[in-house]
Amino acid sequence: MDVLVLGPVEASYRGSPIDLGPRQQRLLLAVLALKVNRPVSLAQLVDLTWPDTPPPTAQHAIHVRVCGLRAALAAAGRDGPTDTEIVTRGDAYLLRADPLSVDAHRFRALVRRAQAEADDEMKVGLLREAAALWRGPALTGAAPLAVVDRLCRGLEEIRLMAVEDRLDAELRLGRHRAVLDELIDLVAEYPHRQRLVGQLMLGLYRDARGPDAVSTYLTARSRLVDNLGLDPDEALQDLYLRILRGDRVLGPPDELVHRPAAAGPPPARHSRPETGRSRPAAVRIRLGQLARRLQGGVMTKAGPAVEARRLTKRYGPRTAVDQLSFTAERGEVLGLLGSNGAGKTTTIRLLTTMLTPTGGEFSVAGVPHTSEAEIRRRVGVLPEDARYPGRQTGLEYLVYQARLFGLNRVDATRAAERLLVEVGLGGRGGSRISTYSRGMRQRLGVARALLNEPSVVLLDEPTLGLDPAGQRQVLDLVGDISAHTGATVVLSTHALPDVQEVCTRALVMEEGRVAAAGTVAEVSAQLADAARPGAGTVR
Amino acid sequence: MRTDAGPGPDLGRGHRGEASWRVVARQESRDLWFGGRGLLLLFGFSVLMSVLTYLTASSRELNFLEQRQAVGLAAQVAVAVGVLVTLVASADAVSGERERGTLENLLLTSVPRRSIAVGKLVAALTLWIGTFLVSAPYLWVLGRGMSLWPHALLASLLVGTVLAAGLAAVGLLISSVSSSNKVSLTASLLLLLALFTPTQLPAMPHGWFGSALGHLNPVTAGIDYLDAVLVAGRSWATGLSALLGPVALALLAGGILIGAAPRVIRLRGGVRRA
Repeated sequence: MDVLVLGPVEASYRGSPIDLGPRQQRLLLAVLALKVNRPVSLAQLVDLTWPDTPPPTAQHAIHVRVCGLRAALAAAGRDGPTDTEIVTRGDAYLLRADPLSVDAHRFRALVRRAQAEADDEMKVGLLREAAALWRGPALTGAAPLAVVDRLCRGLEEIRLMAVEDRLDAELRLGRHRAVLDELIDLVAEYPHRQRLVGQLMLGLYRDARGPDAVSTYLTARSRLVDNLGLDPDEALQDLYLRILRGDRVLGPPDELVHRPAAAGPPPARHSRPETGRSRPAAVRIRLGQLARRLQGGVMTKAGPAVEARRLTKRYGPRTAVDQLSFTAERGEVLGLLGSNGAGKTTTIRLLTTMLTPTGGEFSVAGVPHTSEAEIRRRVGVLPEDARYPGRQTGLEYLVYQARLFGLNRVDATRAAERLLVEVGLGGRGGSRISTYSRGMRQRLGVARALLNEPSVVLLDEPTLGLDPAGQRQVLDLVGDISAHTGATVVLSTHALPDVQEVCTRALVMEEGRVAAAGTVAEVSAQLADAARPGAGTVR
Repeated sequence: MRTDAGPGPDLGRGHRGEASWRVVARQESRDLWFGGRGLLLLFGFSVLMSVLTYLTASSRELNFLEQRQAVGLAAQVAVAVGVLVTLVASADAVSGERERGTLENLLLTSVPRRSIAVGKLVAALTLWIGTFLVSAPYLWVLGRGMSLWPHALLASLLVGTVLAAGLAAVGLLISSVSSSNKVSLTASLLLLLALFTPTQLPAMPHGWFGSALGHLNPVTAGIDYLDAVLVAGRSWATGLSALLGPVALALLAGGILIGAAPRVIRLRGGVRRA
């Protein structure tokens, strides 16, 4: 008999599936299977089945579920006795079975064998076989996430380590190009796993993309420092320095380098990788609707969507923005990159007419900077550190803002409800904003920025202070706006990965001036050059 | 030349909705009242009026005060405190929102700054209306038995509304240009104190200078008018010129507020630098 828990909980006997009954019954089998041949107390089973408040008849219900499972197993083995049975041991139950009949234990055994294997080809084969046992998140549909976390956190960690082991082996085999795409996705998903970051840096370096490797390190370092207050570990720092030195030892093992003659150029690094990884449905913009709405945003003249010429802003003796000139074309995503105090927020506030320039001029959506109200009508803005009235609900807030843009109550409510759904807040529109997480507030801010069907969307540090999942959701939203609607997006950020993720061009600001500009690849390369020991600032 | 007029005439009308100042006023009033601040101020006001009514009624029973004086005193306090409460609300309207970080999203809409100013002014004036409604039963209690209380109500409404409108506009102007909410509230309260103090002084200079001072100070003029109508029993028309000060303040401050709103209601407070 086979019991499968790495994905939906299933069981089969000689290839025939067994009907395991309702969810709680499947969870019961999964718990017993994970602790196969070891007794699990009734109290533990009750606690895992009803983690919050068990009903008074919980123990009786467990007995009933066990009876149901025994009947299902017996029915499967009606042609003869099976090797799997549920045994009562005092006030505990035990699944007596061959451990290798449970996929989780088979997975562990394969990983152990792979770790003991000296041959990398064999190791990769075993680890791939182990990974193939996962048909989805463990216990899918059988238990709430908290219970899955309690039962399978160790398994998940082993799975990730197995992935890292396999990637190490693949890199040793010289297959860096084949695993780069997977590594990029994994680093995006687990940005704090330094081993993965190191593997990605090594893969990029071996693919003759040293600047990308360096920028990957810089990005990881800033994420670690910003989010966790930690520096990269010694191994990663050492790898970084060796890449900067151009250490030949890091190069691909020559005899195994696989470079097919027909291979095309490496994929464009800065286009959004098509990973096939689906986003949460709630966060996915309904592109058709948004596109239709954004097509309503009118550009008054032909020409760039945003154009600044010698834009200057001084506060007394201090110059925040100094003779800044740049353009953002229609439909592009322009990254405004720079450290704190570089002048990004001042630039955004100048473009949104919140500040008056000391010198120079600009136009947004073809509207000159002197027509402030007209510009505000055409731009959508997510300000840095945007605050919201905590007493209002998300829906009330958006309705009010929509009404300020001239919509009547019915249209405003309709637009607000639609946007809440589109940014993944459909179920929380009636909750007070004070109960929202920072990520939810940022998504509310994005919804607010889209209320007026803008031609140009200006986002000031939209991922600041968000956890990796929140950053991913917001960047997905930004990507959707830009990729499918034709609106121009100006994204101000201090994080290079944000720019690499969604931008088509980037502008690096230092002390209010343009320090570098160009495609994201060019800018990343310049930053990497500047990061070399002894190099000056980016110019 | 920069333009901030927005759509339509001065106060802007959404292309598919009602006038934007009304949208702002409705939301600001809702925040003021449902947010609890308005109700708290009104509660304090009603406690004050209860104590005052008790004391004046007792004094009247003891013949320390005539009924006219009791009603006049209550009306004067109702107007003064009602105006104070309105001033506090308006002094917080821009600088407070600036400090709470919610002003930027309001300014980022296409609503003209003038509409924002008018909306906030109207919302602040709802507090005066609230205090007036609370004071009405107290004036009725003190003035019953003679036909004084309708006069007291009407005179309080007239003087209070004009004073509240003028001082609320001043409060909004102070709030707009203040570098912090604390500065705004302090400056507004100091101004009110300076205007109110002469009404409590035992002897003001006589002659044309004293008279001019009294007429120029809108608070003194308003309180004097209430005193003349309710205590001295003069006709409504006799001292009407005393209301020139409050009316001038309301028109002037309101005009300056609406005229200067595009320049002073902005993201940062304080003195504007280049």
